[in-house]
Amino acid sequence: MSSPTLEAYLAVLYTDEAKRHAFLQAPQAQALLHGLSPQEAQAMAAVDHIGLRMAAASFQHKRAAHGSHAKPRRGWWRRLLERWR
Amino acid sequence: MAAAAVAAVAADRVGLGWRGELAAGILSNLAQIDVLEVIADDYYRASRASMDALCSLARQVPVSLHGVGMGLASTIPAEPRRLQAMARLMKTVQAESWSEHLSFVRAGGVEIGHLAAPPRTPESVAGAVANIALASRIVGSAPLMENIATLVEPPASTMDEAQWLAQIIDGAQVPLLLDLHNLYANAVNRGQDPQALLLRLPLARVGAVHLSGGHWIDEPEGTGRRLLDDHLHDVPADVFALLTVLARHAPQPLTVIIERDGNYPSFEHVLDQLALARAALRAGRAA
Repeated sequence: MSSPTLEAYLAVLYTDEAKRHAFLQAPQAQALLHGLSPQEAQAMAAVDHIGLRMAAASFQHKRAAHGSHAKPRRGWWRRLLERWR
Repeated sequence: MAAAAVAAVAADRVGLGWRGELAAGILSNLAQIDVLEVIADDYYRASRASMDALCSLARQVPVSLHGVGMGLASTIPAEPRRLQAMARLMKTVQAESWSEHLSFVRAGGVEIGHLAAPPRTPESVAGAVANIALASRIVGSAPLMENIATLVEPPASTMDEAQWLAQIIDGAQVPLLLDLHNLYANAVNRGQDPQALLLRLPLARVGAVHLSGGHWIDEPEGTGRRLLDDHLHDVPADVFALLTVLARHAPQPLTVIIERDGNYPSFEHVLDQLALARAALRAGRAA
């Protein structure tokens, strides 16, 4: 029980707050609505709600941090390396 | 100490994840750093000058390339263009090895933005094995594959973490890059004994080790807390203790990398962390 559809839905739950909220209100129904099989939807209903919210918050934080450091600060160490070698 | 253990001690290596913020300290202390691990994704579109600097670095100290964006642990086939980028970088840098994570990072057109644990199932094992085989063919060498930390047990799983990791590592016939803080965090967040989890892994297949730190965060309902692997803190003593246990049970040479992604301490402190890793290895080899 693991499919591209299931992974895609997990990716949505990790990144889309509104869809995550809807899922947490009615897990099985929302999972079915997003194309998961009845077996997958039943398994999704057993997800650790707190863990899902914490994981989503962590991913959000990572995305935000990555956005603020989109350009790695390489310039000064490259110059240092060039002097050193 | 047995002769084999002495040989392993001689071959064990301890190094650092390369970060620009640590560059001055690293370049001033190369004699104390056996190996560097460089984030490959930072160089897929790098300028000629940056590539020259990286190649120069790789001529001075062994370098391993660490990928974060392939998403190989997935039922979705890996994108060849990402694997080709690693192949080009490996060829240019002449790195000694490369690695990736046992995670998925995108699906259905959605970028998660970080490493996510897929459902632990026979299907994701098969997908990971197929993706690793494809990656090995395109890059020209097999990756070391790393276990990840997760704050949520992947839903719809039918296997536990140790079973899932072992089946992929055995099926793909690749070395395990064992992140001991990831293992530690997952175990304590599940209320399990980290050492018991460690001893269920295929320790003979461990080729390299990651060490890092994290911090405890409160659960949203305020009922408990979980350990977040953030790479912003020192390696906890419990994780060094796991390294000692690993060194005791895995006779092969180990390459240990300490990862630090921010909240940087003085470089003397970083060197102290390397010394603690060496001491933990020695303690395990001597036992």
